[in-house]
Amino acid sequence: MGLLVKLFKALNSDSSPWQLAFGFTLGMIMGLTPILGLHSLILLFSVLFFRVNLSSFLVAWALFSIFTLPLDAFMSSVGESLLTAESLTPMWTAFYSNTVGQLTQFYHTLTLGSLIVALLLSPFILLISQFLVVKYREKVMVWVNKIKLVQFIKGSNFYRLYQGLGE
Amino acid sequence: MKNIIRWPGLIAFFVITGLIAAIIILFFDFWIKLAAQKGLEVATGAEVNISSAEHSFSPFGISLIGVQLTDPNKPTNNQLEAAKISADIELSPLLLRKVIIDNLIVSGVQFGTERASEGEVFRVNSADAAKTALKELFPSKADLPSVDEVLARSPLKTTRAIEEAQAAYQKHKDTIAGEYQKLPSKDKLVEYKKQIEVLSKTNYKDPAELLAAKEKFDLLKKEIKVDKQVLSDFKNSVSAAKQDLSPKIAQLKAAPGQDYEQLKSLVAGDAGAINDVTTLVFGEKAAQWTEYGLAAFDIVAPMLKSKEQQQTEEAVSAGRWVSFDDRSGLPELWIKNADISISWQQETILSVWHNITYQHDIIGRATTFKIDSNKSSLWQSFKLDGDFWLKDSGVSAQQSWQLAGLKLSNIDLVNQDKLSSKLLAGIVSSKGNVKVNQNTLSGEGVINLANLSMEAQGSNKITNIIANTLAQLTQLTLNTDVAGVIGDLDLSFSSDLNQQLGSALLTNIGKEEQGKLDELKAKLNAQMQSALGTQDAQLSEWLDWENLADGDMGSLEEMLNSKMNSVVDNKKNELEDKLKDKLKGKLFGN
Repeated sequence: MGLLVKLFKALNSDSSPWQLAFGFTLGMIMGLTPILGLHSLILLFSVLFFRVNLSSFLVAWALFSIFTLPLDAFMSSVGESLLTAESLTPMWTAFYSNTVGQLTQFYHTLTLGSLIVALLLSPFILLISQFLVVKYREKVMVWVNKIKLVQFIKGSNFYRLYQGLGE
Repeated sequence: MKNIIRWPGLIAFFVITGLIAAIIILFFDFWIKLAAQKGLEVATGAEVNISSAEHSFSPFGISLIGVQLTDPNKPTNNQLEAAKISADIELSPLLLRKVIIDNLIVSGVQFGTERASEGEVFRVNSADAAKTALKELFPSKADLPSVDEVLARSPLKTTRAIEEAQAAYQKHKDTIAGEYQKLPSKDKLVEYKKQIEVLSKTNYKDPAELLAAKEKFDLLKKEIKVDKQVLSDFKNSVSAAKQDLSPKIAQLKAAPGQDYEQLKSLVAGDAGAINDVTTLVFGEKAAQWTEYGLAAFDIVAPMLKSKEQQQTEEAVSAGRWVSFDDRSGLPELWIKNADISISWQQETILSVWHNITYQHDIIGRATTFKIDSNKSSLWQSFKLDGDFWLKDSGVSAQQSWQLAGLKLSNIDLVNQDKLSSKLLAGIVSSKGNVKVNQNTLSGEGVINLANLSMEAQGSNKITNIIANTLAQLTQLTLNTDVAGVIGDLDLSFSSDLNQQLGSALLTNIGKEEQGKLDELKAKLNAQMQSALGTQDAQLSEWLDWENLADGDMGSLEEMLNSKMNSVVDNKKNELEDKLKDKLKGKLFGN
C-alpha cells in the first residue's frame, strides 16, 4: 500500500513522465526475470545510478512478478528455442566458455527467455507508460482533485497520517 | 548529464550489494547445509540431517559435520552416517554449475546406525516386501498340512507316472485292438491246413493235374502271405506298445516309494521350517553384510543416478541449464579422489575412490574403489575392489572381495516367538564376485563360518529341534547367490543346514507323525495299485496275443515251405527216373 501511495505521489509530483516510465520499464524487466543473475545487478545499478523513479520501479517489479507464474513456461520455451537453435550454437558455445558469459547464466532457458521477452516488451511498456502518465496528469489528476470527496479526504488528519506512514 | 545521474544512488548501490554479499557470507554455512540436505534428500528419497557446515575460501572448500542419511526401507535407522565430509571444490567450473571436487574426505562412516528419531521417507522402496515375507516361516503344529493336503498340493511322481502310463496305454490301445480284429481266425488257419494237406497228399500222375494243383497252391500262398503280413503288423504294434508301456509301469511301481521319501519330511512337519532355515537364521545378517559389501553399487550408484534424474526433472519445471561444448569436457559432478573411512567396531576401514561421477562417458573412465586392509584386531585381511560405469542403458560394474578371519561375537540372528537364535562367537571368511550388466546383477559368494558357538531357543517341538541343531553347529558354509537389479538386490542363501535339520526332525518324530507317515504310504500305494491293476492286466493280454500270433505265424510258415515243396520234389525225381530209364533202353538196346 505504501508503494502505491508513493507511486501516486510520484504521479502527482514534478517527476518527469520519462523518469516514471523508465522506472516502470526497468521494474517490469526485474519482475519478469529470475532475480539471481548478473542482469539483476545491472538493473539495480541502473535504477539507483540513473535518475529513474524508484516508486514506479518497485511497483512494476511487484506487479510483473505476479505475471511470471503463468508466463514462465512460455518464456522458458523461448529460451529453449534460442539455446537449441543450431545456427546460434557457435555463439552460445563461445559465450559459455567465457567467464562473463558464464556469469550471465544465459544458458539457462528461463533466464534467457524471460530477459528476451522483457527486452522485447520494454520499448512498448516505456512508451505506453510515458503516454499514460502524461494523460493521467492532463485529465485524471485534474478531475480527481476537483472531486469534493477527494478534497475533503486530502484535507483530513487521517490522510496526512496515512501519507506519513507511506513515507 | 547532471539531471540523468544520481550520484548518491551509486553509494546506495554499493551499500545494497555489500549488504547482500555480507548476508550471503554470514549465512553461507547455513546455505551450504540447506543445499546439501536438499540435494541428498532428493538423491536418497529420505530425510537427511546435517549437524553443521563449514567453509573456507582459499582453497575453496566445504565441510559437512554429522551427516545422517535415513534408510528409506527402515526409517528408524540410518542407511549411512558420516562423522565428517570435507571437499575441495574448484571454483571456476561452479559458474557452469559443474561441481568438480579434487579431494573428498569422508570419515567415520557407519552403516545401519540407529536414529534418534524416525526419519521421514519421501520415496518408498518396494524391495523390502520380500524381506518381511521371510519373517513367519516357522510353522506351529496347527499349521501342519494333512496328508490329503500334502498329496493335493505336491507334484507327486506317482500321479505323473499314472498319467504317463495311461497316456501310453491310450496311445496303443486302439491300434492294437483294431489290428487284433483283423487277425485271421482259427477256422481260417485250419482251412488253410486242410487245403494244403489235400494238395500235398494227392498222387499226381498227370503233369497237367500237377500244374493245376501248383497254381491253386500259389493262390493259397498269396492269401496266406496277406494274413501273415497282418499277423506281422500286429506283432510289431504289440512289441512297440510293450516297449513303451513296460518302463512306464516300472516307473509307476517305483514312484510311491520315491514320493514317500520326498514327502515324509513335509508330513512329519519339518519341511515348512527347514525349507529356508538357512535364509531365516543367517539370511538377514548375511544379506546385511552383503549389502554393505555391495554398498558401492547399491547405495552410491543409485544416488548418482538420481542426481542425474533430478537435473532432468528440474529442467521440466523451471527452465533448464543447456550445456555447450566448453572445450573442458567436464561432467556435472566429478569427484577426482575420495578417501572414505568406514568405522566398524573400533576399527577403521579405508576405502580409496577415484573418478566418482554419473557421466562416465564424458570423462571416459569408470569409478573405481578399493579396500586393502591388513591384519587388524578383528580380521586377518580384507580386500575389496571394483568399478562401475553409469550409462544411459544402465550400470555396468564389477566387484570382488576376499575376507579372511573376521571375528564375530554376540550377533542376534533371529528373534521370533517360535525361535530365537544368537551367534555368540565365530570366525567368518568370505570371497566372491559380482557383475552388473545394464543394472542386472549376477554373482556368487561363499561365506564360511567356523569355530561357531551358537545359542538358540525354540518354543515348540519343531523349533526346539531346530534350536538344538543350531546349538550344535560348529561350522557352516553359506553359499550366496546375488541377483536382482541395482537398488533392489535379490540375495539367496543355501547350505547343508537344511539336510541336517531334516534328518534331525525325522529321527524325532512322534506317534502322531508316524501315523501320518503310514497314512501317506498307504495312500500312495493305493493310488499306484489302482492304476497299475488296469495297465498291468492290459499289458498281459497284449503279451498273450503276441504269443498267439507268434504260434500262428510259425505254423503258417511251416505249412507253406515244407509240404508243397516235397510234392514237387517227389514228382521231379519221378520224372527224372522215367527219363533216365527211357534213355538207357535206347542206348543199350534193352
